[in-house]
Amino acid sequence: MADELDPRLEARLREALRAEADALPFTVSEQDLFRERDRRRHRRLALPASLLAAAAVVTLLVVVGAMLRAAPDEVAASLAPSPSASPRPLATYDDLARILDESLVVPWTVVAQGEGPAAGAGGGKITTVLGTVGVHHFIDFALDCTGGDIEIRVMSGDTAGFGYKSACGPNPIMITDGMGSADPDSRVEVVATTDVRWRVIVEASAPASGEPTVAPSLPPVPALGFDSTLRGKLAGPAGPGDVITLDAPVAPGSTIAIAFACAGGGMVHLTVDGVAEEAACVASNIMEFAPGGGDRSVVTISANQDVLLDLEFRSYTPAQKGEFTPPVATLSNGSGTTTGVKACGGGLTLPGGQGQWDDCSPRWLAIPEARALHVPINGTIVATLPDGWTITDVTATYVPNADTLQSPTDADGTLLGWSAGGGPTGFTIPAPPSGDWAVRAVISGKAGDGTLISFPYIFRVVVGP
Amino acid sequence: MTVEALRGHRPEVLADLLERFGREIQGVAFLILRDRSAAEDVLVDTLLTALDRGDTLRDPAALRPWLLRIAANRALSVRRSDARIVQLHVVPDRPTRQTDADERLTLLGVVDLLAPRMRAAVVLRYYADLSVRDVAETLGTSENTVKTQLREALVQMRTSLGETSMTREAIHG
Repeated sequence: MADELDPRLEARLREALRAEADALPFTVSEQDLFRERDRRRHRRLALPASLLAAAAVVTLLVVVGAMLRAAPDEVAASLAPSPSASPRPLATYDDLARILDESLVVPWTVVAQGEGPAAGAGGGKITTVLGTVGVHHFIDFALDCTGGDIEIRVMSGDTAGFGYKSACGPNPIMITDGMGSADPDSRVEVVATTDVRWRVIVEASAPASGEPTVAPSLPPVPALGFDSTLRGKLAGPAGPGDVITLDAPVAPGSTIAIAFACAGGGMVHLTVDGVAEEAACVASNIMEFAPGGGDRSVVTISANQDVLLDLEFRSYTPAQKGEFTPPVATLSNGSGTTTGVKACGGGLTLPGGQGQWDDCSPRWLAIPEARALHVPINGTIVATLPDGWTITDVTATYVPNADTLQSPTDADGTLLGWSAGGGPTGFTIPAPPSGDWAVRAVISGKAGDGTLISFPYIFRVVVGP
Repeated sequence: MTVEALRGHRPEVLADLLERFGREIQGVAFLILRDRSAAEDVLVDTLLTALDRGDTLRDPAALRPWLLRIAANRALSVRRSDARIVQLHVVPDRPTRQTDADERLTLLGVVDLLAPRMRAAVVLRYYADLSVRDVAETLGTSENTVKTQLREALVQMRTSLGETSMTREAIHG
């Protein structure tokens, strides 16, 4: 099989695929294999997370579509005296809750729980209604049982939705219902014979506060020095349990900046190569991560309810590309300090005369509140560059921080002040009036080696009593 | 020795399989799934499945394609049940400065966008170096179908590499 138009393409593809796979760490050991083999032999179902989901799908396929009648012998859940044949005690509710909590990025709440067999239950197979779970995207079960087979199912009327059926194992297990239900009266049932002892808890997220109503728009993080970019809107995560995985090529040694605007409320949880950050789902956030190494990064995004994300992901590799690293600009007021985010529209002249101009747009960035500098009314603020730099010129304008998502132009800002010859000690300007502002300070400076810059830095300044 | 041990379901063969084929199986799974942990799961699952079903391996020379077949099918199965993996396709800010690394990313980006079975065909042919016939057998399809899939994939790659201006690409959850 040869490519007719470019015989080299196949070779380049081979090289790319091999480089990609070879960069992957190889960490599976012989012990891992034997451990997993032992688990399977003991029917624990404690599969790795991604296979657990697959196992759940297989299980539910057995049950989906079956029209099941609720058994007439439904009883309330309460524990009967322990059968003397019980080989071990069941996990407590707290133990079961811990199993579930370990898998969650945001807290869920117990929506149903129960144990059996019920006191006074007759022989044969008993159906126990644990409770109503209502509309849900995902719910998790933690189950411990001994003595035989058990079935857990989510019922909507007489129709079975999600179902799980298996023999009891030696350890508690976690099961996820990923089918969801739009039925506000959906309920969880446990079916087992009276010689099976069991205990189950069911967890779900707190109710969502409504569907997102706005489509956020996000200005980019600074372009100069960033060598790769992705932007896009993510319709999700769709509620609790839905984890979006972004698999991103990144340059080794790079810094990752993730900016996102979010609608829908709740909490958003991001991880980059296992390092986690959590943020409120608000209009804008910017996070920076150091990737775990290699030339790929795995980013996971989850939320405790439906959200809509406008995401920008950038990999920043100044050292490898020989790019210039902008100096960190600082804004302070005597009692607090914040650093600026370098925005689009700056210029750079290197000692040899080589220059770069970063003519990108929009010119403003939304800065998270955590980076805000709080300034009293009628106070002053001081812009500085690090040691080794001399400020030669500063021009500062400001707009309401909330307006930054509307992508104002340079001209839309209100002039705060300007000065030439600020010198190494910084440049002092009056603070804006009372309010929550984004301040765009275009700082021109000179380094000891002759490098000249004129970079815009965005600061968030909150002025109030 | 390995095949005999497999047919006898002797667990000590796992170490040998892991050493000889582990990296390649993980690579095939990763290139199909683009998820490290899922690829490791597939590797473990593939070797344990091979141990369970070793007595069905007739031709000792077919051990490697047999293992890759299990791995590819496991990976495709996992992929079908997990539709929420989103590939980031990084768009260079300076498209005119096309480097080898950029080209590699472009090629991999095209592979990411292929339909799962077409991607599996590309991975088995160009990463695992299976013959077209073995790829067809692995995926349970005809040689002509595999040839068509590979040709289509190459055309898409050539088109992407030939683009002079790159646009920012939206990702869809």
